[in-house]
Amino acid sequence: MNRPSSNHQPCVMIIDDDPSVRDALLFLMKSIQLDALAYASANEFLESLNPDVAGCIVSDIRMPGMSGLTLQDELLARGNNLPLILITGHGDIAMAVKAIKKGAFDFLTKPFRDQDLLDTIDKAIAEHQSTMIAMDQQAQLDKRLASLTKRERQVFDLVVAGKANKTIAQELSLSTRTVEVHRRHMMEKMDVRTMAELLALFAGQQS
Amino acid sequence: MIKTLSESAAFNVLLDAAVDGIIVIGTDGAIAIINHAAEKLFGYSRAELLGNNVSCLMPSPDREMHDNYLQNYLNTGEPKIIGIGRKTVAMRKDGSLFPMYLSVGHIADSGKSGFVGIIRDLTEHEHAEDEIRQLRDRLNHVARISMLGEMATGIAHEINQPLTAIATYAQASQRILKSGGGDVDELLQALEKIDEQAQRASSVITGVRKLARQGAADYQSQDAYALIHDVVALAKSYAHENRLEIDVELLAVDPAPVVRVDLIQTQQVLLNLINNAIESMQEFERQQREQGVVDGDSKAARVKVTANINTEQQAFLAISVCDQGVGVKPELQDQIFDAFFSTKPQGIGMGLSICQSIIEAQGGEISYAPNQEHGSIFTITLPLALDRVKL
Repeated sequence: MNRPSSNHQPCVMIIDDDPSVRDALLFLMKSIQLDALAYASANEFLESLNPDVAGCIVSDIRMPGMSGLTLQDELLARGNNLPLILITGHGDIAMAVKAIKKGAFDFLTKPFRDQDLLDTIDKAIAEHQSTMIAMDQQAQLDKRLASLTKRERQVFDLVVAGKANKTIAQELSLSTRTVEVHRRHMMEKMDVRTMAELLALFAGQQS
Repeated sequence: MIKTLSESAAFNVLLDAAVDGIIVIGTDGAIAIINHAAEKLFGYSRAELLGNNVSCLMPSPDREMHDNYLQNYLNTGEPKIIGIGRKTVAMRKDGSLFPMYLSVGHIADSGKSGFVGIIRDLTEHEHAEDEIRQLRDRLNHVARISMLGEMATGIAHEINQPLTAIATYAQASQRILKSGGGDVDELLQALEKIDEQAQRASSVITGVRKLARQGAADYQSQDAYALIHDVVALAKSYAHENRLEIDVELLAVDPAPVVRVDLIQTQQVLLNLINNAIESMQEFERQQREQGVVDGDSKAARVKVTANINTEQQAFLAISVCDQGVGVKPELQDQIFDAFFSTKPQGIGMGLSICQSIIEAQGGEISYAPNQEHGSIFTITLPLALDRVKL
C-alpha cells in the first residue's frame, strides 16, 4: 500500500476511480517534480492515510463507494485538515456549492487547464503548510506552558501583562528575589532570552 | 339455387365462387381445371392455361424442377408438399411475383389421378406483417433514443474522462519539453496513452451512434461476450454516477458463445435491464435513508451480469442481470412485462414490454425472479448459433 511519508515534503494525493485520469495526474505532478500518490477509491486512501502527511488531496467527486463529499466529512471527523480539491466531470454547480460549504478547498471541472489545477494545488499546499507551522508552534508553546509550575505560570501571566517584578512580588505575596528566581526558570522553560522574545511567542499564540 | 342446376354446373358455380385460387392438374402437370379466382391471381384467361404445364405459373427454379417433383412423388409416394401445404412464391403472366400459401391434395378417383392446388394470395398479409415489423422497429428505436437521453450525463462523463486524461498528458508533456528536460521514452509513453484515450473516447461515441441508428432488425451471428462487454462499458458511467459497480461473470467457454440475434436490439435490452437494476438499487438506498438505515457509505453496491449455457435447453445462452434493489412486489410480478405498466413515477411502462418483444422475436425468453434478500434477477435467453456451439 502506498503510504505517504511523515516528513514535511508536500505530497499530492490523487483519488479517482478512472485509472487513466489517475495516471495522467501522476504524470502531471511528475512533470513539475511534485511528489504524488494515487488511489482508486476514498476508502483505499483513508486506509493508508498518515495523519502527519503534508500536502493536499485531489479527488473525484462521484466514485463507486465513498464519494468525494463524504470524504470531506470523514476528514473533518478525523480532525485531519488536509485541503481537499474536488474535481468532477459533471459540471454540477449545486454540487460545487455543497462541496465548498462542507469545507472543500476548491472545486474544478474536468477537463481542467493544468495551470488552474497546479495553481490551486500550490495554494492548497501553502495553506496546509502554514496551518501545520502554526499548529506546530501552538503545540510547542502548549508544551512549554504545561512544563511551568503553578508559581512560574502565575509569574508568566503577570509578566506578559506588563507587570514589574516588584508589583508581581506584592501581588503574589512573595519576596522580589523569589519572583526573580521563578522568572528566570520560566524564561528558561519557555526557551526565550528576552522579554521581547517572550512577548512575540505570546503574541503568536494569541493570533 | 344450386339444387336447380345440374351436378356439373353446380360444381362450376362452387369453383368460381371460391375466394382462393383452385387449379387441378393431371399427373403430367397439365392444367385440367382452373377457377375464376386463379385466373385473376395469375392474370391469364382460362383458355390460355387449360392444357398447359402448371410450371408456367412458377418462377425458377421450381419452374424447371416441377416435373421432377411430380415424378418423384409418383415413384416414391413421399410427399414434400402434398397433403401439407406451404408458403411459396408464384409468378403472374406479366412475370411479377407474389407470395402465396399453396396446399396440394392428391386426387385418386376411379383410375384417374391428379392433383388439386389451392392458392391463397399472401400479398396483403405480408404487407400487414411488414408494417407491424416496421412499427416495432420504430418503437424500439424511439425507446433506444429515450434511453440514451436518460443516460446522457453518464455518457458525457464517459467521454470526459479520457478527454481529461488526454489534456493532462498533453499539458504535462509540454511542460517537460519547455523545461528542456524529459526523457524521450517517457514522452513517447505519454503520446501512446493519449492515443489510447482518444480511441477510448471514440469507441464510446461509436457505441452510442450504433444504438441511436434506426434500422430494420438484422439477425446475425454475434460474439455474445463482446456484446455484453460493450453494453457494460456504456452502462458503467451511469453506474458510477450512482456510485455502483457492475460485475461481469461469464461462463468460461472457448471460443466465446455465438448467438443469432439483432446486435443493436439485444444491446438495447441488456442496457435497459442494467439501467433498471441501477435505478432499483438507487431507490433501495433512498428508502433505507428514509428509514434512517445508514450503511456506512463505504463499499460500492454492485450489479451483477452473468452468462450461462442453459442446462435444460442447450441451444440457448442465458444472460442474467442481478441487483440488490427494491425488487418487484409479488402481486405485481405477473404484470411487469405488460405495456403501460410501470412502478416508476415517471415511467411510461414500455421498457420491459419492448424488451420482451425484442427477445421473443429472436426466439428467446425473458423472465423475472426475486433475488435473495431483496432485489431482482432478470434473465434473457438468446438462441445460440448452432453451427458454432462447442461445449
